[in-house]
Amino acid sequence: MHEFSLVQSLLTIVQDKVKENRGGKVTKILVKVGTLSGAEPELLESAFQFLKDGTCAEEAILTVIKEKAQVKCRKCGTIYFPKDLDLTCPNCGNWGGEVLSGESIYLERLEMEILSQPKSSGEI
Amino acid sequence: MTERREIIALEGLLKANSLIAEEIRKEFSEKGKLLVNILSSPGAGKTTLLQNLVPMLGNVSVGVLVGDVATDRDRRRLESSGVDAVQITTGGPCHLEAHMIKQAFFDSPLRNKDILFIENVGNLVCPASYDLGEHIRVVLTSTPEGEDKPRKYPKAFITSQVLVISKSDLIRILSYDLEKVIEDARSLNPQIKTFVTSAKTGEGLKELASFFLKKKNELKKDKTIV
Repeated sequence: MHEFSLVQSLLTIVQDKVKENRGGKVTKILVKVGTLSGAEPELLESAFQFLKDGTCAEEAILTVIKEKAQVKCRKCGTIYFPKDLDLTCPNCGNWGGEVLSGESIYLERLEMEILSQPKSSGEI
Repeated sequence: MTERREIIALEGLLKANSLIAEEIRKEFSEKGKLLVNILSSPGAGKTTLLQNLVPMLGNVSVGVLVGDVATDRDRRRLESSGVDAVQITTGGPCHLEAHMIKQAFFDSPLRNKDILFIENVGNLVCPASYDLGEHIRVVLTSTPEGEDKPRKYPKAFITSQVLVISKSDLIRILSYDLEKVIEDARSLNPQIKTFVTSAKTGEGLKELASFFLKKKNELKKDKTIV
Protein backbone atom coordinates (compact mmCIF):
# COMPACT_ATOMS: atom_id res chain seq x y z
CA MET A 1 0.00 0.00 0.00
CA HIS A 2 1.01 3.56 -0.45
CA GLU A 3 1.87 4.87 2.91
CA PHE A 4 3.67 7.91 1.48
CA SER A 5 0.68 8.93 -0.59
CA LEU A 6 -1.64 8.24 2.36
CA VAL A 7 0.46 10.45 4.65
CA GLN A 8 0.39 13.21 2.05
CA SER A 9 -3.43 13.00 2.11
CA LEU A 10 -3.30 13.01 5.91
CA LEU A 11 -1.21 16.16 6.00
CA THR A 12 -3.58 17.90 3.57
CA ILE A 13 -6.57 17.03 5.75
CA VAL A 14 -4.69 18.12 8.90
CA GLN A 15 -3.76 21.44 7.30
CA ASP A 16 -7.39 22.01 6.28
CA LYS A 17 -8.54 21.33 9.84
CA VAL A 18 -5.97 23.75 11.21
CA LYS A 19 -7.18 26.43 8.83
CA GLU A 20 -10.86 25.76 9.63
CA ASN A 21 -10.16 26.11 13.33
CA ARG A 22 -7.70 28.98 12.99
CA GLY A 23 -5.21 26.79 14.75
CA GLY A 24 -1.47 26.90 15.05
CA LYS A 25 0.74 23.91 15.51
CA VAL A 26 -0.62 20.39 15.74
CA THR A 27 0.35 18.44 18.84
CA LYS A 28 -1.33 15.05 18.42
CA ILE A 29 -2.77 13.04 15.53
CA LEU A 30 -4.70 9.77 15.82
CA VAL A 31 -5.14 7.62 12.73
CA LYS A 32 -7.01 4.32 12.61
CA VAL A 33 -6.25 1.65 10.07
CA GLY A 34 -8.44 -1.37 9.41
CA THR A 35 -6.75 -4.77 9.14
CA LEU A 36 -8.25 -5.17 5.67
CA SER A 37 -7.25 -1.72 4.49
CA GLY A 38 -3.82 -2.72 3.21
CA ALA A 39 -1.96 -0.06 5.22
CA GLU A 40 0.64 -0.79 7.90
CA PRO A 41 1.00 1.38 11.04
CA GLU A 42 4.81 1.28 11.15
CA LEU A 43 5.07 2.30 7.51
CA LEU A 44 2.63 5.15 8.06
CA GLU A 45 4.66 6.28 11.05
CA SER A 46 7.93 6.22 9.06
CA ALA A 47 6.39 8.08 6.15
CA PHE A 48 5.05 10.66 8.59
CA GLN A 49 8.48 11.25 10.14
CA PHE A 50 9.78 11.86 6.66
CA LEU A 51 7.01 14.14 5.38
CA LYS A 52 6.00 16.23 8.41
CA ASP A 53 8.93 18.70 8.32
CA GLY A 54 7.93 22.20 7.36
CA THR A 55 4.25 21.53 7.99
CA CYS A 56 1.97 22.50 10.87
CA ALA A 57 2.33 18.90 12.06
CA GLU A 58 6.10 19.08 12.42
CA GLU A 59 6.01 18.57 16.18
CA ALA A 60 2.95 16.38 16.33
CA ILE A 61 2.94 12.93 17.85
CA LEU A 62 1.28 10.53 15.44
CA THR A 63 -0.44 7.46 16.85
CA VAL A 64 -1.68 4.79 14.45
CA ILE A 65 -4.01 2.14 15.81
CA LYS A 66 -5.02 -1.00 13.96
CA GLU A 67 -8.73 -1.74 14.02
CA LYS A 68 -9.73 -5.34 13.64
CA ALA A 69 -12.05 -6.04 10.74
CA GLN A 70 -15.54 -7.41 11.38
CA VAL A 71 -16.62 -10.22 9.10
CA LYS A 72 -19.91 -12.16 9.13
CA CYS A 73 -19.61 -15.83 8.21
CA ARG A 74 -21.92 -16.68 5.32
CA LYS A 75 -22.27 -20.25 6.53
CA CYS A 76 -22.99 -20.00 10.27
CA GLY A 77 -23.63 -16.28 10.75
CA THR A 78 -20.89 -15.81 13.36
CA ILE A 79 -19.34 -12.38 13.44
CA TYR A 80 -15.60 -12.70 13.77
CA PHE A 81 -12.57 -10.41 13.88
CA PRO A 82 -9.70 -11.56 11.66
CA LYS A 83 -6.44 -9.96 12.72
CA ASP A 84 -4.99 -10.24 9.21
CA LEU A 85 -6.08 -11.35 5.75
CA ASP A 86 -7.01 -14.87 6.86
CA LEU A 87 -10.80 -14.85 6.67
CA THR A 88 -11.43 -18.31 8.13
CA CYS A 89 -14.43 -18.43 10.47
CA PRO A 90 -13.23 -19.55 13.94
CA ASN A 91 -16.58 -21.19 14.55
CA CYS A 92 -17.23 -23.39 11.50
CA GLY A 93 -13.98 -23.10 9.51
CA ASN A 94 -15.68 -21.67 6.43
CA TRP A 95 -13.44 -19.26 4.56
CA GLY A 96 -14.63 -15.87 3.32
CA GLY A 97 -17.64 -13.92 4.48
CA GLU A 98 -19.29 -10.56 4.40
CA VAL A 99 -16.88 -7.81 5.39
CA LEU A 100 -18.79 -5.47 7.70
CA SER A 101 -15.88 -3.16 8.48
CA GLY A 102 -12.08 -3.00 8.50
CA GLU A 103 -11.18 -1.52 5.16
CA SER A 104 -10.88 2.09 6.06
CA ILE A 105 -7.90 4.30 6.84
CA TYR A 106 -8.97 7.44 8.61
CA LEU A 107 -7.93 10.40 10.68
CA GLU A 108 -10.00 10.03 13.84
CA ARG A 109 -8.95 13.08 15.76
CA LEU A 110 -6.22 15.64 16.21
CA GLU A 111 -5.15 18.13 18.83
CA MET A 112 -3.91 21.59 17.94
CA GLU A 113 -2.93 24.79 19.65
CA ILE A 114 -5.41 27.60 19.24
CA LEU A 115 -3.97 31.06 19.64
CA SER A 116 -6.45 33.04 21.71
CA GLN A 117 -6.76 36.67 20.70
CA PRO A 118 -6.37 39.39 23.34
CA LYS A 119 -9.75 41.06 23.89
CA SER A 120 -9.95 44.69 22.87
CA SER A 121 -12.27 47.06 24.65
CA GLY A 122 -15.81 47.05 23.38
CA GLU A 123 -15.77 43.36 22.54
CA ILE A 124 -17.91 41.01 24.49
CA MET B 1 -1.75 32.38 25.61
CA THR B 2 -2.40 29.17 23.77
CA GLU B 3 -5.11 26.65 24.46
CA ARG B 4 -5.09 23.13 23.14
CA ARG B 5 -8.17 21.92 21.36
CA GLU B 6 -9.09 18.42 20.29
CA ILE B 7 -10.97 18.10 17.01
CA ILE B 8 -12.80 14.93 16.01
CA ALA B 9 -12.24 14.50 12.27
CA LEU B 10 -13.32 11.00 11.12
CA GLU B 11 -12.00 11.65 7.64
CA GLY B 12 -10.86 8.90 5.34
CA LEU B 13 -7.42 9.38 3.87
CA LEU B 14 -8.67 8.15 0.52
CA LYS B 15 -11.49 10.69 0.57
CA ALA B 16 -9.85 13.02 -1.93
CA ASN B 17 -9.56 10.14 -4.40
CA SER B 18 -13.16 9.07 -3.76
CA LEU B 19 -14.49 12.56 -4.47
CA ILE B 20 -12.75 12.72 -7.84
CA ALA B 21 -13.92 9.18 -8.62
CA GLU B 22 -17.54 10.16 -7.92
CA GLU B 23 -17.15 13.15 -10.19
CA ILE B 24 -15.83 10.91 -12.98
CA ARG B 25 -18.59 8.34 -12.53
CA LYS B 26 -21.27 11.03 -12.58
CA GLU B 27 -19.89 12.58 -15.75
CA PHE B 28 -19.69 9.24 -17.53
CA SER B 29 -23.20 8.24 -16.39
CA GLU B 30 -24.70 11.50 -17.55
CA LYS B 31 -23.16 11.02 -20.97
CA GLY B 32 -24.25 7.36 -21.20
CA LYS B 33 -20.64 6.21 -21.41
CA LEU B 34 -19.51 3.00 -19.70
CA LEU B 35 -16.28 2.97 -17.70
CA VAL B 36 -14.66 -0.36 -16.86
CA ASN B 37 -11.57 -0.84 -14.65
CA ILE B 38 -9.58 -4.05 -15.13
CA LEU B 39 -7.32 -5.32 -12.36
CA SER B 40 -4.93 -8.25 -12.51
CA SER B 41 -1.42 -9.42 -11.77
CA PRO B 42 1.23 -8.63 -14.38
CA GLY B 43 0.97 -11.01 -17.32
CA ALA B 44 -2.53 -12.32 -16.60
CA GLY B 45 -3.70 -11.21 -20.02
CA LYS B 46 -5.40 -7.80 -19.73
CA THR B 47 -4.00 -6.45 -22.98
CA THR B 48 -4.61 -9.68 -24.90
CA LEU B 49 -8.17 -9.81 -23.61
CA LEU B 50 -8.82 -6.26 -24.78
CA GLN B 51 -7.18 -6.86 -28.17
CA ASN B 52 -9.61 -9.72 -28.75
CA LEU B 53 -12.66 -8.32 -27.01
CA VAL B 54 -12.85 -4.83 -28.51
CA PRO B 55 -13.50 -5.96 -32.12
CA MET B 56 -16.48 -7.96 -30.78
CA LEU B 57 -18.18 -4.87 -29.44
CA GLY B 58 -19.67 -4.04 -32.82
CA ASN B 59 -20.53 -0.49 -33.71
CA VAL B 60 -19.90 0.91 -30.26
CA SER B 61 -16.84 3.18 -30.11
CA VAL B 62 -14.30 1.90 -27.61
CA GLY B 63 -11.12 3.27 -26.13
CA VAL B 64 -8.57 2.00 -23.65
CA LEU B 65 -6.60 3.92 -21.03
CA VAL B 66 -3.53 1.84 -20.24
CA GLY B 67 -1.63 2.26 -16.99
CA ASP B 68 1.93 1.03 -16.58
CA VAL B 69 4.88 1.96 -14.45
CA ALA B 70 7.10 2.07 -17.50
CA THR B 71 6.93 1.77 -21.31
CA ASP B 72 4.00 2.19 -23.66
CA ARG B 73 4.27 -1.35 -25.01
CA ASP B 74 0.66 -2.20 -24.17
CA ARG B 75 -0.68 0.91 -25.83
CA ARG B 76 1.29 0.04 -28.98
CA ARG B 77 0.00 -3.54 -28.92
CA LEU B 78 -3.55 -2.29 -28.70
CA GLU B 79 -3.08 0.28 -31.44
CA SER B 80 -1.60 -2.36 -33.71
CA SER B 81 -4.82 -4.35 -33.22
CA GLY B 82 -6.85 -1.35 -34.24
CA VAL B 83 -7.85 -0.35 -30.72
CA ASP B 84 -7.65 3.34 -29.80
CA ALA B 85 -5.52 3.63 -26.70
CA VAL B 86 -3.89 6.25 -24.53
CA GLN B 87 -1.02 5.41 -22.17
CA ILE B 88 -0.58 6.65 -18.61
CA THR B 89 3.00 5.95 -17.51
CA THR B 90 3.09 6.43 -13.75
CA GLY B 91 6.88 6.45 -13.45
CA GLY B 92 6.66 4.96 -9.98
CA PRO B 93 3.23 4.43 -8.42
CA CYS B 94 2.05 0.87 -8.90
CA HIS B 95 -1.61 1.77 -9.19
CA LEU B 96 -3.77 4.32 -10.94
CA GLU B 97 -5.62 7.00 -9.01
CA ALA B 98 -8.75 8.91 -9.93
CA HIS B 99 -6.94 12.20 -10.59
CA MET B 100 -4.79 10.42 -13.23
CA ILE B 101 -7.91 9.20 -15.01
CA LYS B 102 -9.48 12.62 -14.89
CA GLN B 103 -6.41 14.22 -16.37
CA ALA B 104 -5.74 11.56 -19.01
CA PHE B 105 -9.29 11.26 -20.15
CA PHE B 106 -10.47 14.79 -20.24
CA ASP B 107 -7.82 16.04 -22.59
CA SER B 108 -7.53 13.01 -24.79
CA PRO B 109 -8.91 11.70 -28.07
CA LEU B 110 -10.82 9.07 -26.03
CA ARG B 111 -13.26 11.69 -24.83
CA ASN B 112 -15.90 10.72 -27.35
CA LYS B 113 -15.79 6.95 -26.85
CA ASP B 114 -18.89 5.14 -25.64
CA ILE B 115 -17.08 2.44 -23.68
CA LEU B 116 -13.77 3.13 -22.00
CA PHE B 117 -11.69 0.35 -20.51
CA ILE B 118 -8.99 1.16 -18.00
CA GLU B 119 -6.21 -1.38 -18.07
CA ASN B 120 -4.82 -0.83 -14.57
CA VAL B 121 -1.18 -1.35 -13.61
CA GLY B 122 -0.48 -5.07 -13.15
CA ASN B 123 -0.95 -5.47 -9.40
CA LEU B 124 -3.67 -7.12 -7.28
CA VAL B 125 -2.84 -5.15 -4.12
CA CYS B 126 -3.01 -1.35 -4.32
CA PRO B 127 -5.37 -0.88 -7.27
CA ALA B 128 -8.10 -2.56 -5.21
CA SER B 129 -8.17 0.42 -2.85
CA TYR B 130 -8.50 3.15 -5.46
CA ASP B 131 -11.88 3.92 -6.98
CA LEU B 132 -11.29 5.29 -10.47
CA GLY B 133 -14.92 6.26 -11.07
CA GLU B 134 -15.67 3.04 -12.91
CA HIS B 135 -19.15 1.53 -13.34
CA ILE B 136 -17.75 -1.97 -13.47
CA ARG B 137 -14.60 -3.35 -11.91
CA VAL B 138 -13.18 -6.56 -13.38
CA VAL B 139 -10.65 -8.79 -11.62
CA LEU B 140 -8.79 -10.97 -14.07
CA THR B 141 -6.82 -14.02 -12.98
CA SER B 142 -5.15 -16.46 -15.35
CA THR B 143 -4.89 -20.24 -14.97
CA PRO B 144 -1.06 -20.36 -14.69
CA GLU B 145 -1.28 -18.15 -11.58
CA GLY B 146 -2.88 -20.89 -9.57
CA GLU B 147 -6.09 -21.04 -7.56
CA ASP B 148 -5.10 -19.03 -4.50
CA LYS B 149 -5.56 -15.48 -5.79
CA PRO B 150 -8.88 -14.82 -4.00
CA ARG B 151 -7.31 -15.94 -0.71
CA LYS B 152 -4.15 -13.91 -1.14
CA TYR B 153 -5.76 -10.77 -2.51
CA PRO B 154 -9.28 -10.70 -1.08
CA LYS B 155 -9.82 -6.98 -1.55
CA ALA B 156 -9.47 -7.18 -5.33
CA PHE B 157 -12.22 -9.83 -5.41
CA ILE B 158 -14.47 -8.17 -2.85
CA THR B 159 -14.51 -4.88 -4.73
CA SER B 160 -15.03 -6.30 -8.25
CA GLN B 161 -18.36 -7.06 -9.93
CA VAL B 162 -16.85 -9.33 -12.59
CA LEU B 163 -14.31 -12.15 -12.41
CA VAL B 164 -12.58 -13.26 -15.60
CA ILE B 165 -10.48 -16.42 -15.54
CA SER B 166 -8.24 -16.27 -18.59
CA LYS B 167 -6.04 -18.76 -20.46
CA SER B 168 -8.73 -21.41 -19.98
CA ASP B 169 -7.10 -23.45 -22.76
CA LEU B 170 -4.48 -24.42 -20.15
CA ILE B 171 -6.93 -25.74 -17.54
CA ARG B 172 -6.36 -29.40 -18.32
CA ILE B 173 -2.60 -29.20 -18.66
CA LEU B 174 -2.30 -27.35 -15.35
CA SER B 175 -4.95 -29.42 -13.57
CA TYR B 176 -6.39 -26.05 -12.61
CA ASP B 177 -9.22 -26.25 -10.09
CA LEU B 178 -11.66 -23.86 -11.69
CA GLU B 179 -14.49 -24.65 -9.26
CA LYS B 180 -12.27 -23.77 -6.29
CA VAL B 181 -11.40 -20.33 -7.61
CA ILE B 182 -15.02 -19.53 -8.39
CA GLU B 183 -16.15 -20.85 -5.02
CA ASP B 184 -13.58 -18.76 -3.17
CA ALA B 185 -14.45 -15.63 -5.15
CA ARG B 186 -18.15 -16.18 -4.40
CA SER B 187 -17.39 -16.70 -0.69
CA LEU B 188 -16.03 -13.18 -0.66
CA ASN B 189 -18.53 -11.73 -3.07
CA PRO B 190 -21.65 -13.80 -3.83
CA GLN B 191 -22.79 -11.40 -6.57
CA ILE B 192 -19.62 -11.59 -8.63
CA LYS B 193 -20.27 -12.59 -12.27
CA THR B 194 -17.83 -15.11 -13.67
CA PHE B 195 -16.50 -15.53 -17.20
CA VAL B 196 -14.02 -18.19 -18.27
CA THR B 197 -12.09 -17.06 -21.33
CA SER B 198 -9.33 -17.94 -23.71
CA ALA B 199 -7.90 -15.57 -26.28
CA LYS B 200 -6.50 -18.65 -28.03
CA THR B 201 -9.74 -20.58 -28.48
CA GLY B 202 -12.10 -17.64 -28.23
CA GLU B 203 -14.00 -19.22 -25.32
CA GLY B 204 -16.11 -16.82 -23.31
CA LEU B 205 -15.25 -13.71 -25.30
CA LYS B 206 -18.62 -13.36 -27.02
CA GLU B 207 -20.43 -13.69 -23.70
CA LEU B 208 -18.17 -11.09 -22.09
CA ALA B 209 -18.68 -8.70 -25.00
CA SER B 210 -22.48 -9.15 -24.75
CA PHE B 211 -22.28 -8.46 -21.05
CA PHE B 212 -20.52 -5.12 -21.55
CA LEU B 213 -22.90 -4.11 -24.34
CA LYS B 214 -25.86 -4.93 -22.12
CA LYS B 215 -24.43 -2.82 -19.30
CA LYS B 216 -23.80 0.04 -21.67
CA ASN B 217 -27.42 -0.04 -22.80
CA GLU B 218 -28.70 -0.19 -19.23
CA LEU B 219 -26.60 2.85 -18.48
CA LYS B 220 -28.05 4.81 -21.34
CA LYS B 221 -31.60 4.01 -20.27
CA ASP B 222 -31.56 5.12 -16.69
CA LYS B 223 -28.19 6.76 -16.17
CA THR B 224 -27.38 4.43 -13.30
CA ILE B 225 -25.92 0.99 -13.24
CA VAL B 226 -26.44 -1.95 -10.95
